[in-house]
Amino acid sequence: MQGFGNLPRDWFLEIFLRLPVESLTRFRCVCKSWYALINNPKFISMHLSYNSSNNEFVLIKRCLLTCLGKKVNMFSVVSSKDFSFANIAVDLPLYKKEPYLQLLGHCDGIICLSNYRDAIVLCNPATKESMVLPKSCLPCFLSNPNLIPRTNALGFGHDLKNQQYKVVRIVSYLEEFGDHSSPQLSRVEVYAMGTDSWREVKNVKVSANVQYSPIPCFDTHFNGAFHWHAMDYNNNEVILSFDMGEEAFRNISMPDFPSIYDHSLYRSLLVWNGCLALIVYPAKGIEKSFQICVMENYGMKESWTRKLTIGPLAGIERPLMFWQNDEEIVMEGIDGQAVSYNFITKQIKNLRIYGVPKSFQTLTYVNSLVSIRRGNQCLMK
Amino acid sequence: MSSSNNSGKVLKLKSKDNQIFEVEESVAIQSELIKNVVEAGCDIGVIPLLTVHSKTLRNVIEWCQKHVDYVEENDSGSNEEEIKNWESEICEEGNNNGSDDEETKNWESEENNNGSDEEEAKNWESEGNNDGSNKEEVENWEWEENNDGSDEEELENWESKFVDVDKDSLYALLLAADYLSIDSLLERVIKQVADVIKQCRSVEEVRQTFGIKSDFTPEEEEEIREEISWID
Repeated sequence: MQGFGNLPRDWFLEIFLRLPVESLTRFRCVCKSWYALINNPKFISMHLSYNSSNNEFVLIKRCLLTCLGKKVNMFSVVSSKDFSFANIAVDLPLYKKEPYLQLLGHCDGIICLSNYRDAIVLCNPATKESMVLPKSCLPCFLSNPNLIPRTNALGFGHDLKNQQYKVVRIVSYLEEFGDHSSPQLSRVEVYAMGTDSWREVKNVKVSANVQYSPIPCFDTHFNGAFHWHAMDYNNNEVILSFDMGEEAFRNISMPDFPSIYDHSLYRSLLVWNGCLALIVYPAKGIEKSFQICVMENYGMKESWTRKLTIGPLAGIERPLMFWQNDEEIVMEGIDGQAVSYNFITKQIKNLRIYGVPKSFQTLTYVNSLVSIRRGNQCLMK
Repeated sequence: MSSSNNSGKVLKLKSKDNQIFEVEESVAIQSELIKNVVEAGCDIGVIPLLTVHSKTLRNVIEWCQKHVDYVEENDSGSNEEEIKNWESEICEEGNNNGSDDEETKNWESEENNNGSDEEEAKNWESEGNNDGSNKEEVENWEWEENNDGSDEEELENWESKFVDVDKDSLYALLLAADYLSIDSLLERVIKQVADVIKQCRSVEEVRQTFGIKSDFTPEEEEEIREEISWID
């Protein structure tokens, strides 16, 4: 077996690309050249690239009920290749029992979680590295002591311009006993992975108020910006977007259909075929139809185009995300099961993942070696 | 075994240890190297493969033959086996490798705990026993996709057995596949080496398997192992 020891480095590169993160992490210390190769940012980037093309997953966060009727959170990954799934152990204090746990986003193997109150966590489930973000840099009270800060919106994404991963937080200061429908003041801060503190984004205009609601899913990272469901100051429903690189907000108009006053309809924002897509569907009903509208030119209201309607489908609660080359959509069933609907064959596949109804959240996910503490690494693309 | 449906031209390949192998052209040109030789018109007489031992060459030829056969079989499209597999798959429960036990337990207890969400009480049916409106959908939900199914799987199984050899043979295959430029073999061998590493249970085992000597001092190695446990 002496042969293999003499294999040129190029060969090991090819072999290592096909190794899971767990093996690479464990065997880094075999020898110095292995260590150097596995830690090399260029290699980490190639490995991530390889996984993105060959080993893509859907990450599902859901709630399960224990025998005592308590809700616990569970993360699972579903393989795009063969639909098999596995539960992943995410070793975080803020994880199992947190009732309001939200998945903020995923970038290059790092996921961001929060309870929207006091804790935000970054985690790489594959390397098992995790980190609680430092405390906010924004003041707890302003000159008017009646205004209390509250986290209005959170987002996590790429800043491709500066090669950073960032968490953005919009904080609103509200009258303690007043009307909370329009916050008095909003301030924004950003945390860049690999640094040790938040930094306020000064001189920025928050152009709309985020309407927080975990159901239906809306928060989406796309095209270098994070998007939320919001109301602008003229009471129009808009998509508020924060460009991670420019650190600036803009409002993106929703299509005129359907009427925002129709409260029986939910709107979910997803990404489909490289565009933002809005899915409109009834909030209630045993049978639902899902209308898909795509914004073909990013940011241009006129480019919203009705693409297709799925259904009516029986027993489906809501859409979660597109996958399988955008030919299928993961959805949540009325009884709390994850299914996948294929537009072409019109078949529904049971993914056999069950949970408390309306507790599902999904994201695309890949395993990577990207380190949270080392922050700035070679990003893909 | 297939009957060759081309001109049936036969090439002579000579191994490192001077053994001659007669191989059909359609099989031999799975190797880019040999394909180039043929296209350049240099395939008269014997093609010497200076770095490939006869033992390895024999295996490589077997690989190439299998892949030529597979392509031919699929073109002629024999569907009978496919249909048989499809039918049996519909009847059997699909497997996944997630640990279902916890979910099943929780799911069962969920059935008794639907008080918490009044709105959902109506829709909260126990799994498998749906009300009438869901019935039509149940069949669809149990659909197991079966694409090319058996043929592809059969090839995969054959390939897995093929690369399941001792390390020296694997190494020889790797070098041969590279020298001869046979992408399918190269890809499969690389994957196999990766799988061998994956299955090692310790760093020491990896070192032994690959004949690698550690050039870390014990202290350095300890430091690296510590790096891995991220405790906040």
